[in-house]
Amino acid sequence: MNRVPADHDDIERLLAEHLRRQAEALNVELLLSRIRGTMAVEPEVSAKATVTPSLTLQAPRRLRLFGKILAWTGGTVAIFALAFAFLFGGRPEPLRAATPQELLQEAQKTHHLPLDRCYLVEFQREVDANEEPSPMAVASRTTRLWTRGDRFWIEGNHPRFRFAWGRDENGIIWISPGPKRGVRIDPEEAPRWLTMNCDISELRPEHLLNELLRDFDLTREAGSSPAVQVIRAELKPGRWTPALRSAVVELDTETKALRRVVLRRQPSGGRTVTTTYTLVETATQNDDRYRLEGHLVDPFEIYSTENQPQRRRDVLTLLFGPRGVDWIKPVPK
Amino acid sequence: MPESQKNAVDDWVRATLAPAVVFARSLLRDKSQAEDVVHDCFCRLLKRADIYDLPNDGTKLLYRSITNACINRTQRARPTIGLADGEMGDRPLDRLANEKSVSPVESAQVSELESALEMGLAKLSVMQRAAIQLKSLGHSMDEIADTLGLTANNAGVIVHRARQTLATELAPYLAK
Repeated sequence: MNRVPADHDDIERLLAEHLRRQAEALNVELLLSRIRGTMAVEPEVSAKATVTPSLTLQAPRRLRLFGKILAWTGGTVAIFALAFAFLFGGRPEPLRAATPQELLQEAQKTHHLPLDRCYLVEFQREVDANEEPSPMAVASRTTRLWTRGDRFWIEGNHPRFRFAWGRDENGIIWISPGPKRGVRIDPEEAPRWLTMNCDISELRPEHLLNELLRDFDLTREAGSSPAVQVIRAELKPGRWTPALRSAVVELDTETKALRRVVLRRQPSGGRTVTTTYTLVETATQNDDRYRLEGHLVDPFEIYSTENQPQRRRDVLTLLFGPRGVDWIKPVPK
Repeated sequence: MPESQKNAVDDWVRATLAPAVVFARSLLRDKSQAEDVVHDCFCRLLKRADIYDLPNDGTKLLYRSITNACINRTQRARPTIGLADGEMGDRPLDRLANEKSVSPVESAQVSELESALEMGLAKLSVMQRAAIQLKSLGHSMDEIADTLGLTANNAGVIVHRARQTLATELAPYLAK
């Protein structure tokens, strides 16, 4: 092994090299487009405007410590205020924002809280009258989705079998056809269609709201009652999002959370899929529920790229027919 | 803003975006969160592009902004398990695939060294990671202290401890 001469500068040089290599290997075109998209919607402030550097930009640690003390005392005051409000009949401040953008920004703040939410999800796919019916491609189905940030799990409700599947915090896609065995697909093994399918299946409110604010024309619509605020979003001309064409978002006036979301997607060249998410429950779920292990009972076996890859293919074929093997993309060794 | 200045800012964004994502990702150990932070920090600076001289001063402002946003996020976030390993995106296999000018043996050694560096970075606190990376990116101790809101002495201690941890992790690769 070639050894690198050691002194302080060498460690920093190695680290700088390491960061440079990683940066060179990174494709940031999508992020660049995202930044440009945001800037097109929210252009730069005028030089004449009074500029107060943001706290995040310049907040030193001492200020953060001071901020912590303030936050602690403020938090205590807030707890008393909330308790007072609760005891004396106060209600959460309802949405007062007027524009659809402001409404979605309010919802963003609400969904920033790391809560587990359960949505009833209904998929509806346009069906061609001449299309040969396939047991795998049902025109509509309803499932329950638990989601927290980028992770989710779904209790599958396929007419032929029941199974759970999901994506954990590391991007690993898993399927549990029963309590004794499971299949794990690493992110680099997942073909693009499967990743897209996961994106379509889960609801990531923060990402979705960002996307809507950035790339969509927003209009308010009359809600069924004052408790509901309805916003329609149509893709701006010239903008591109992964298959999302339009959305209708219903916000709860009191809680400011997404109550119902209807997304119309059209994967490239595919049929239009309408996905309706209806919030049915907000609760705290164990982290394990988002992982394969959380759906298995000891003793169990997990088939993965390291453990019995052939058995993994067999299980996928058993579940999804001959095309089951398409669930795994060969990874170059 | 004049067209030439716009182009200079655009070039600056292109040049700094990938390193900024790598830096944020290293602090947060989460790719999508890192991209969110970098997006927000760039947008904040770009909104003030006619006030700041971004091509000249922007990089330091950007790293300060990212550092603070990442530290705030890590202090706010609930602890999660296993984020360190799966989200980095460019694993040794990917990196090897990108190695064109070195022999397979050298590639393997580079890959081992990078894995050791990653292991070492993962063992550091977010403040230590920020400090040592800013140092490696050429920031002075005063600038690091300013970014992290510490005295220069304290920043020096943090950098020193981070360096020691990395040195232990990289010991097999460093000459005595």
